[in-house]
Formats: sequence, structure tokens, C-alpha cells
Amino acid sequence: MTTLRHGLADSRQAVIEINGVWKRFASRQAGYLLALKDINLDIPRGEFLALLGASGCGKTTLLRMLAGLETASRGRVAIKGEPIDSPVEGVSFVFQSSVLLPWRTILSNVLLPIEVQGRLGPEWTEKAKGLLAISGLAGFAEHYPRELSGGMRQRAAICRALVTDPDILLMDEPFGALDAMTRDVMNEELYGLWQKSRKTVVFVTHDISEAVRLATRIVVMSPRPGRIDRIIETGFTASDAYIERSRTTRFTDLVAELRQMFVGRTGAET
Amino acid sequence: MSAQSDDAFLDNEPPVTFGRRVLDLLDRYIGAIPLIVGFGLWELIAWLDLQSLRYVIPAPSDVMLSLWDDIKSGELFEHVQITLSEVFLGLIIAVVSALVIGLIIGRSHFLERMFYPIIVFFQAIPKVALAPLWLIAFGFGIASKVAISAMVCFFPMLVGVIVGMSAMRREEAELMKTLRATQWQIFTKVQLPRALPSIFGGLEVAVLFALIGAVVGEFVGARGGLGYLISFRSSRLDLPGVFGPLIVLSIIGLILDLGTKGLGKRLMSWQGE
Repeated sequence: MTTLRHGLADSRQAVIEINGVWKRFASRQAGYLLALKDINLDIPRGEFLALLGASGCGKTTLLRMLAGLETASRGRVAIKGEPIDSPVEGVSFVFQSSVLLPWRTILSNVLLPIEVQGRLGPEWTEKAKGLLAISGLAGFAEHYPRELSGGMRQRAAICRALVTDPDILLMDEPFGALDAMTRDVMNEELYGLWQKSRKTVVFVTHDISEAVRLATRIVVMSPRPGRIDRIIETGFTASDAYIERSRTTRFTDLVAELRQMFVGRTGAET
Repeated sequence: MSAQSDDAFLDNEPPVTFGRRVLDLLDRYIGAIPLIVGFGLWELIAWLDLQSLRYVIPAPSDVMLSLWDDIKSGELFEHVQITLSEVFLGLIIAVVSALVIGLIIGRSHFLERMFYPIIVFFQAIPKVALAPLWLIAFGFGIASKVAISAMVCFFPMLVGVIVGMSAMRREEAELMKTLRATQWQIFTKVQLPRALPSIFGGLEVAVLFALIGAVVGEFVGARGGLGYLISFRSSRLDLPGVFGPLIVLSIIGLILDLGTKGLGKRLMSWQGE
């Protein structure tokens, strides 16, 4: 395993490879629905990739495929060189809602992945408490999810995703249900986490400025059938500070360019 | 300065007046009011001694006297013991078998689709109508009453378990899948806790049904039990003697119901209010 990783780093091979992936779903009206059409994408280690598109463009389906929750109808999805058709180790998934188990305390929810692996122990409890402390939830370890606000619950869900220290973080519109202020704070925290840990992040969103604020690369997708429209390098790197990014003209230019793309396309289709 | 005045403002609770206390007490025991008024009206009707009602409604005071005699002689306790053992044995048989069958059927969508119609069919049968058959099969002793009681409360319990097994949310199943949990872990850590509210809903119905089943069985044929006592005395037109055990039955039902609800609340405290 270590030699394999070493080899990967040397050849600068992508940590996630998506080659010629198609996905169809059975549909009541049309027989089959083409959710994804010929997707090709390589994601290098340490990248913050945003999958951006309107609803129905297949971005969530593609993300779920990386998580092993969907299988490709055709084509190949590989993580660290291994083709996958079910969830693999070292990959964590963050849902749109927190999906905390309401009968467990916050701490016990964060420890769930460790518990499932049968590795519970004081060192993991310490680690979970540390993560909660970083997220400003130190005082809420013994609280139940219903006692927390939406933003706090989502923070706890991210702690749960991080407790196993994954290399890859898959996030499906994780802040979509939060208000704009909370969302901005969460974005900054996530960005800070990525800057420090250089994990590979794949982040699904339909919010243009969110994508531009966070990502190193933006994959723009379009619907019916879901396909990759364009791939945009934001030109930002982990050395750029979160707040500073939105002050640059590159940020405003990119947002304007992407908005024009979506507005123009929607106008042509309707 | 301002922080201090904030605290003072927050800490300064309005004084609790006597009127407030009476209102709080009333609010708390509001469910007892219709009961007390009802008993009062009942006593009033008996006191008026309407000719037409003489053999329908005895005076509550007569009922209490008769009940006191039953308690003193120890007769009541004997019959309570018989009925309660029938209820608990029937309940245990029904709950254990409903849990085993329900958890197995509920685990598989295929089995659920296969067996649900027949379960609904059996649930629709008025099972107390079968009581005479069980009497023939199991005799006049306690066994036939246990069987009737178990049969009556089995189906609501089973339905509660099966419905509960599908209460797990799709995202929760997917979360467990991404954590690479085993089927057993998904069952114990998510599916079962999610099923608890529905299982307890079934249990609450089952507990009361078990009591009804046992009493109906005793009506049909028995040598003891509160149902036997009621049917024996009503054949002799001993009205106060009928209403005493009836009240005892209601109290037993109430205690069983509250006990089940209390247990459910303790197990599912995470649900909050």
C-alpha cells in the first residue's frame, strides 16, 4: 500500500480517475433516463474541486459514484488506482443534511465511523473531542442533535467525516440548507481545513460564488443528459486566503463569466 | 453595569400567587375533572332511584361497599391474580413471537411484500369470535385464556414491528454504507432504534388488547378471573358486584398503559417532548 502511494505521488497520477462514465436510471415514463453521458475527469491529490451545475445535471450522481453509493452503467471509476463499485476506506461523504442519529449524543455520533470499524478507545474519544473543540462544539459533546442549530449539526457531521482522517472528502451541497451568514462561516472553516490538511475535496454545489470562493478547479455540468460543459481553473491555490480571494478581480470576473454561462443557457432552453 | 442589570432583569421572576398555583394544579390534573363530575352524576342518578334504571346502574356507594367486601374476603385478589397471569403470559407469547417474525419480515422487502396481505387479512378477523374454538382446543383452565389473549394482541404488535422496520431513512442507510458497516451493524445501530417508536405504538395497543382477550375468554368459559366473576354475578343480577371488578379491570388497564408509555419514554428520551 505504501509503495503504491509512493508510486502514485511520483507519477503525479490522479487520486480519482473517471473514464468514459455513463449512468442511466430506469424511469417510469421514458424507459431509461440518461443521468450522465461520457464523463472523463481526473482529480489530482490535494485538489479542491467544485462540481457546479443546475439541479438535474448529474453532479450529485457523479459524487455518489465516487462514494460507492452508485455504480456506473458504463465506464470506470477508480480511487488510488483501484476501480470501485462500493465504498472504500479513506473516503468520507458529507450529506446535504447532517444525518446525525438523534438517539446518540454529538460525541457518539462523531465516533460512529470508529465504532463501526470496531476500534473504539480513549485515544479516539480524545481525537473526536479535539475535532469538536476546533469546530466550536466543545461544550456540546454530550448534547443530542435536536438541541443544536442546523449549522452546528452540520459542523458535527463534518467532524464525523474527519474522525477517520480520510484523504478524500466528498461533499454533497453540505451547506445548502444553511442561511447565507452561517454558510459563509462554514465555507471559511472548510477552506481553512483544506489549506492545512491538503485533503482532496470534491464539493457539489449550485452556488456559483461558493464554487469560486473555494475551488481550485470548477467542473461546470449541464443537464439532459448530464455532461461536463467546461472545466475552469480558478487560478487560486491553497496559499490564497479565503477572504482575500473574493477581493480579487479574478474572483468577480469568474463569477460574472459563470453567471453569464448559466443565464445564457437557461434563456436558450426556455 | 448594563450586564448586571440584564442579569437582574432575567433573574427577576414574577411572584407565584395563590391563584397561579391553583390554576397550575387544575391544569395538571385537568383529566380528573370529568371523572369526578361523572361519578357525581352517577351517584345522583342512583339516588333519584329511577324505576327503569334500577337494574342497570347501581349506586357508586353500593359498588364501593361491594368492592370493599371483595377485598376483605380476599376473593378479588384471587381473581385479579388469575386474570393478570393470563394477560402477562399471553402478552409475552405474542410480543416475543411478533418481534421475531416482524424483525425477520421487516428486514426483507421481498418477505414484507409477500406476507403483509395475509397479515392484514388475519388482523381483520374478529378474533374474539374464535374464543369458543380455543376453549374447545385448550380447555376451561388458564391455557385457553392465554391463547385468546396472545392471538388478539399478536397482530397489532406484529404490524407495529414491521412498520417500524421501514422507518430507517434512506440517508441513514447510505451513511452506514459509506462507513462500510455490516448488515448487522446497520440493523442494531440504526434500524432497530428507528423502529422503537412504532414497536412501542404496537405494544401499547397489544397490552390493552391482551386484557380484553383474557376477559372475553373468561366470559366464554372459565373457573376464575375478573371476567368470570363479572359474568357469574351478572347472571345473579348482583349489579354492585359486577361494577366492582369492572372498575378494577379499568385500573389494571390504566396501569398497564401508563407503564408501557413510561417505559417507551425512558427508552426514547432522545425524542424530547
